[in-house]
Amino acid sequence: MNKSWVQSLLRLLVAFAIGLIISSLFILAVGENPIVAYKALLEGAFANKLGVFTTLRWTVPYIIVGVAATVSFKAGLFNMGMEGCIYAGALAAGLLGTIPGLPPIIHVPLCIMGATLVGMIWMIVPAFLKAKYGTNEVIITWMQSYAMTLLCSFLVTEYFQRPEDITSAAQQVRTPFIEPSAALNPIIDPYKLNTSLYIAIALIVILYVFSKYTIMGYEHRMMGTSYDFSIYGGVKTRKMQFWALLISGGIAAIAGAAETLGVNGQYIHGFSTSMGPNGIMVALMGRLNPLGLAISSLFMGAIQSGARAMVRATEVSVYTMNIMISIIVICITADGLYEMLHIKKRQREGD
Amino acid sequence: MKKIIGVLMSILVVLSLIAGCAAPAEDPVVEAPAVEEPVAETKEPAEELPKVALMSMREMTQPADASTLEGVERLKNEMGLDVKIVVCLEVSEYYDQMQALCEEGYDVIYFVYDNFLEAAKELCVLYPETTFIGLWINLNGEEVAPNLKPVHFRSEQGSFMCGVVAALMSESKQVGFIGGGNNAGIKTMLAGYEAGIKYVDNGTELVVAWANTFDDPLKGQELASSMYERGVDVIYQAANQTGLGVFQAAQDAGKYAIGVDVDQSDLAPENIICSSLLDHGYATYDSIAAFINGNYNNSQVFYGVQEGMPVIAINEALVSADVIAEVEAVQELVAAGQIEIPTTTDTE
Repeated sequence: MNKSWVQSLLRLLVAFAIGLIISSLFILAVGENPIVAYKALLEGAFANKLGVFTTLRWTVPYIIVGVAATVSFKAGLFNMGMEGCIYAGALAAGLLGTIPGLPPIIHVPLCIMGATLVGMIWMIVPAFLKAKYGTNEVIITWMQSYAMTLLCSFLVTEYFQRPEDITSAAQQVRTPFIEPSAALNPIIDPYKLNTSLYIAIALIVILYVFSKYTIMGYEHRMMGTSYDFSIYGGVKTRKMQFWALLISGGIAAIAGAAETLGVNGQYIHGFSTSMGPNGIMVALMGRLNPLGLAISSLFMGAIQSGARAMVRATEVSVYTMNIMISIIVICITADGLYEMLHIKKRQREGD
Repeated sequence: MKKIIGVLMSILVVLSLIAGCAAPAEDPVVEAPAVEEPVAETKEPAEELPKVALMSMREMTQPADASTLEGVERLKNEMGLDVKIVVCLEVSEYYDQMQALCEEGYDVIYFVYDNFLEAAKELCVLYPETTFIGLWINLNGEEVAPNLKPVHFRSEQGSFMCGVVAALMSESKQVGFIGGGNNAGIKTMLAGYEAGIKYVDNGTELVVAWANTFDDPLKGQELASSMYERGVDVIYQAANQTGLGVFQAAQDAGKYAIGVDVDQSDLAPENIICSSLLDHGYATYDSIAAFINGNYNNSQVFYGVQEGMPVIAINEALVSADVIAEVEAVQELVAAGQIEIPTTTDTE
């Protein structure tokens, strides 16, 4: 147990080092000093109150999407459609949030439940096809994700556009503001970190308890580890696959709802900075472990918040950070690298 | 035991890699103080100068942005003011970055386009010390806060003048308009253009087409070509990148076109007869300079002829002196407020 922790930590360090080195090249290429840039990044993420709150504010959606990705990964499924679910959830929450005259105790859960439901419904087709015919869920969810993103944009432009925006010069696709009763309020006032933090924490705890202490969680995990074994053991794998995809979509939609209700106060098209794919990265970086998930989300949140500070302090583009994140994820998931470095035992030895 | 050694070795490898990363970076480190020193020098006389940040929603590469940068350059040359440019490519960055700039003690946050307006409206209440100036903002008289200044263009004026030129220059008595998207900003330009054509009143007809995209030159070229084939001989484009295709079509057909935002006549010197100007640089310079000179107030400003901003750039190689004289006469009437130019139209 102890060794696997050391392994994970070393993996992270090596990946981080390589990521830093390669993105240094890009920073040097624009004529900036990488050390100054990284210092700005680190300070921006942690050194002041705003930085810390922005980091945490970004950690929240990453945790939620990360949990969604973990649910599908543990069942051996790739849910590439989370971006679509995030947008669907955000739009659903944004529209339900405009209903006037509800007390917050009903309104907030209503919006979140509505978003979850929409996310789950959107996953029914790929989940059904997967469970019934064994169709590849990667392609379908992925394509559906594009469809949903564009559908949300279309629906808002055609039917739900905020009336005031029609008269403005640079148009944004966005709905009217939600009622105050639907808002997830900030934890400390001028900052955007809001009560959706508790939702994220609750989801992590639920994930932990579910996979550790329930029979269904065990079956769910087993199915991902060894599909044939789980059939042999009597797991209703098809039903399990169906629900795993549905729940993954539902949770991803909560991330969208949290962004709408907590941060933006309205549905704005393009609010998700590829949170879906990033959620997959977070889940992989966290190695599908609830605690690892929280840590990797915090890391991604820090990068988001720090990268912006870096942009303010230097001439480096935000995209440099995307390069760094991708390299880090590639390194973390590349087993061969660690075999080479003798951090991980050769898998072939067992053959 | 072997494994532990292996682990230690790999840590060493990682550390040496990090060290290796630090080494090439040393050169800039040595240079860094040299770069900082002039900054420190300008800071001393600049102590009364405010900290100014400019927020843009895209990389500063469009013609309008180039004009904005000219304004920034002018501020630097004439007042010694360094404007920090912050590019926010993602929607989620708008609020974050603006709030961070407030917290970092910027005195003026100048933002271009109303994508930033919601964030500014929220933050100007939370950070009363910071002054927000927004270009392309028309609050329609709504009073938000004393530290939020809306700045807009009289974009109908330049278009009006272009309409006059187009109607006078057209031989077939058919002129065209190609808009990038059917929104209020472009509508205003169409309204001005239409009014200009009507003002000349020589029986010129207006043909309108919408590209519904601001960054597809091919689409612009197709639309323009078909218009030229129908007998239109002057096309006014308000379609950003899409409009570049209009110029291409004008060159192919040997007909006239009208540019937008900046003087675009160098793109097709034989074909572009004039350009309506939305001088971002002038607005940027003027509004920030007004703040520095202590002439700040939060009332709505529209930049146009009356404010001394040039609204039209005529290509004198193509336009006859008579027409120029006519346009100048019209401009004086506009400046004197004797011509009412509509800002919206029902023409689609």
